[in-house]
Amino acid sequence: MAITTAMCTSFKKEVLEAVHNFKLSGGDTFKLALYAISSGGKSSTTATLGAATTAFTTAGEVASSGSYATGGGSLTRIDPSSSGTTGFTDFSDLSFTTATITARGALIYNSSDSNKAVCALDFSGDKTSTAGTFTITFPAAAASTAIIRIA
Amino acid sequence: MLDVTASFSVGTVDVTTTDNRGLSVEEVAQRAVDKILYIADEAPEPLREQAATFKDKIHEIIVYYIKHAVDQDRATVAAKLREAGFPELARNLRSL
Repeated sequence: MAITTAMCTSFKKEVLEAVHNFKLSGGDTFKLALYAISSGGKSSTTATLGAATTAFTTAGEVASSGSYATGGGSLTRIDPSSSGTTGFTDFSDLSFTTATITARGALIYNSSDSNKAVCALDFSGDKTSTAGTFTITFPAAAASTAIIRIA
Repeated sequence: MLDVTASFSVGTVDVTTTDNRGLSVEEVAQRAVDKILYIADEAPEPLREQAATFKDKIHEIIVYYIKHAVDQDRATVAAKLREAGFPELARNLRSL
């Protein structure tokens, strides 16, 4: 059982089918859900996330706490852009406040379209907030850093 | 035969957490600065140094104005609390 940073394979196919819309205006709603790989999850099953993930799953998701509600938080889209030969898009940072959370990774998914998975993120270790703020800081929206890039 | 290739990549997120408090003004300012100015790893050293100095300056300015905004907001909330008959709560808020 593990969480591996990866672009979901189903997402790559769905991009070719025009399933996902990341535009700032009129785009789909994307959410980020947090997952634990051991006892931090709300259920006894632990999360397995990676390239093979096709949709949001409750298995291993952390429990609601503070402003974190199961299903995760909505992401604020940053308009897709390009630089050189790379197209990219990004999201604004996301914070959950007054939250007691231990998470090992996250899943970004499209809640406007059957919760289809976009990418899995491995935090490289357990991250814990205790009655505090749990913040996910997204990378700069640039060709070499943005969260989603097509080169 | 022509072959066109494209690759998908996932960026790296950072996670910061706090215990029994929210983010400090300095922490929020750092996040803002990191969004405003990104220094590429492959940028030439003199440019990187210049950008880092500029980044520090921007950080100072943002910290100052966030603190000012927090103070002003607390002043407004304190005034509302006093108006509503909670002068002690207003005093406690102003002393934070």
